[in-house]
Amino acid sequence: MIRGDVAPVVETEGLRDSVGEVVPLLSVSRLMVEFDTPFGALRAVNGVDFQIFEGETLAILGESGSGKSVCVQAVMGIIDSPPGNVDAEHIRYQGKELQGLSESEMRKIRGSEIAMVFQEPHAALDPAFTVGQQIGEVLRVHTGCTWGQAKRRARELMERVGIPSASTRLDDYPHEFSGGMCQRVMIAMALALDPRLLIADEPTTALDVTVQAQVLDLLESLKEETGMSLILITHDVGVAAEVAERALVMYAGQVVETGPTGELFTGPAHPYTLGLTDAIPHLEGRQDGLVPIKGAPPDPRNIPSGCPFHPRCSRAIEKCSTEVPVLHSVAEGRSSACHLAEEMFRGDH
Amino acid sequence: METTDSLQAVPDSTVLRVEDLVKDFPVRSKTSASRSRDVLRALDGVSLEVNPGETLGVVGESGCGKSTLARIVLRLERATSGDVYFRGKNLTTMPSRQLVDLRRYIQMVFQDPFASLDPRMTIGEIVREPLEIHKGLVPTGSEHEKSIELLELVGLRRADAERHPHQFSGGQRQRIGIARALASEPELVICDEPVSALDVSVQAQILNLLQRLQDELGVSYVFIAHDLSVVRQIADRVAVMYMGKIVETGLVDQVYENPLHPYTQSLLAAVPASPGRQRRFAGLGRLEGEVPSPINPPSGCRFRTRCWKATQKCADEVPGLSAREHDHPSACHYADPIVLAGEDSRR
Repeated sequence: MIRGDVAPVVETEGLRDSVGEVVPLLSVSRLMVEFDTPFGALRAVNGVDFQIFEGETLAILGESGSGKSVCVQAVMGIIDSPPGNVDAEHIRYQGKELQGLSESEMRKIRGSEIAMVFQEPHAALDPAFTVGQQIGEVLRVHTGCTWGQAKRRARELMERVGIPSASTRLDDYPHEFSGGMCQRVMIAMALALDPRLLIADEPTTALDVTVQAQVLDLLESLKEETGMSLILITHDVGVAAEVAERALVMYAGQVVETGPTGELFTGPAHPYTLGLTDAIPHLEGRQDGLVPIKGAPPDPRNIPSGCPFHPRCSRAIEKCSTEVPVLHSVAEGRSSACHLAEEMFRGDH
Repeated sequence: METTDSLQAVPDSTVLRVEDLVKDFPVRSKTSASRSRDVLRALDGVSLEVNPGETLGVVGESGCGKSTLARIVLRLERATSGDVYFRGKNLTTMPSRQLVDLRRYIQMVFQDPFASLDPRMTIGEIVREPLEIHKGLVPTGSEHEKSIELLELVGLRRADAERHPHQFSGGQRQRIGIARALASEPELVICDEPVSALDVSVQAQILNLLQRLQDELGVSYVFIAHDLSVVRQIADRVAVMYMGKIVETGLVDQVYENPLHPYTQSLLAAVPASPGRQRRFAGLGRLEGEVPSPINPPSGCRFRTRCWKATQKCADEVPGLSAREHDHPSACHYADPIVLAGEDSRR
């Protein structure tokens, strides 16, 4: 199936229908993550709210240091304390609070309910074991099956993620796989326990563009087959727009805008989102000078007062440097954390 | 296309001319138990030209040879065969002593601004260093003033000269790298993935800066990148590489609007669309499989193992890079624009 054939608008409307009163698969409220450093506390995530629903694909978009990875690491409970401190009003999975669960309870959630795929597939695999052993280990630990059963299942999984001649490649080591194939192994491992939610943290950033397309296709078709939900963390507006139904734009540890990807990037209601879309060069033709965002993302140890984006924002007014704008609804399904959100939203529509 | 046999008569107006460049790397044989050596051919007969004030984009996926090409042009690596001419002078045969003087004119901007600056030097020292190596560029004693001028040229401040690299963000460091590259007033700057380590909001700043500097200084760029959108933005002409060969080249608009080689077509089709737009050649489907091992490449056309047009001819005959009946050269026996109607696509 070819992704480009599905118009994003259609997907958006499908999403709205399903929202209703349904309990979100994962709901995070007022998430705060701080790290103790020798230079003082570093607030990586500052009051993030988000939900993801059954069968949905949500993109978390942001530049380096925006806190997008730390957010999901906090959800997975894989932030060490110290130095990390995680606090949230709630982190609910299928309505059940995850904060305060014991490590053994959390381990049951990780893998079998929520699984994760990381950016550097070669770094995430152990070089000393064959990929078959590594996929098999997941199954053995979680289901207590025999090695023979685990190995058979590992082969099935490798076939399912499109690794050619899976039965022989089972006994190969990670270094014998290309980046794209390694990422498929990681995906196979993540799928081993049939999770309801897959979190993919920059899964294609280290890959070439043709391989990226293959891996994104794979994620999409697996999602369709299994009905699982997908959180895709990315810095690439194009990837987010093409794969996800809804996106969360993060800046300096906060959500600055959220909405269906189709509308969000073509009619942003936050100057940062607009800045991102203006700054990217297009494949379709050369622009007369790109419009960059001035300056650089802030140091997380030293977040600007008021709106964290105000020093780089061309629309900033006085209020922006003193008052923190809260994320609020500007239209159905659309929220923005900008004092001028309504004006921007109307201006662009 | 001019013929290549008249070595002396290379016109000086061409800044860089690369002719039939081949680079082999010996690699230890994986299959045989003996100590025999296999050969990895990283570049296989690459020819290209760069004119004054122009940007040549070189695109391709990892392992296609684009960085090896850069290293040979700078003679950080020796070519196995073939020639590199800078302003008509053959760099491949030039004695090292002479090469030092010529290096002034060919500079490089690296990918990783965190690894390419000496952390113990101040920014002023980093930018001044080329002026001290290439004596006579500026009058003795005025190196400091010149370095400040360079920093201001790339959008940094006078006071920054006293600071160290760690005090700067990635984008600012890339500006420092560019200032250093420009210090010796080069005619050619090789930019190897200069924006791929930067955040998108900062990437645009550096692309605009490179563009402005070219307009002001008339410098030529070889711009190596894997990001096709970035290359479309900055380059005048583009060369698409696959497994050590140029498979298609031409003006940026020609290649992007009317790609002739199936690889170029697949590459463009794989890029996610800009928001609100349709992906290019969406009906083409996906390029399957992966780049084959360069140690034992396919016979004939190296792309044939992944190509939906491949025939016996592609296995037997290496397709040459030529325009055939089209407006720009490509290396395919069946070079043709995409027609996305009915059963023409590959699935």
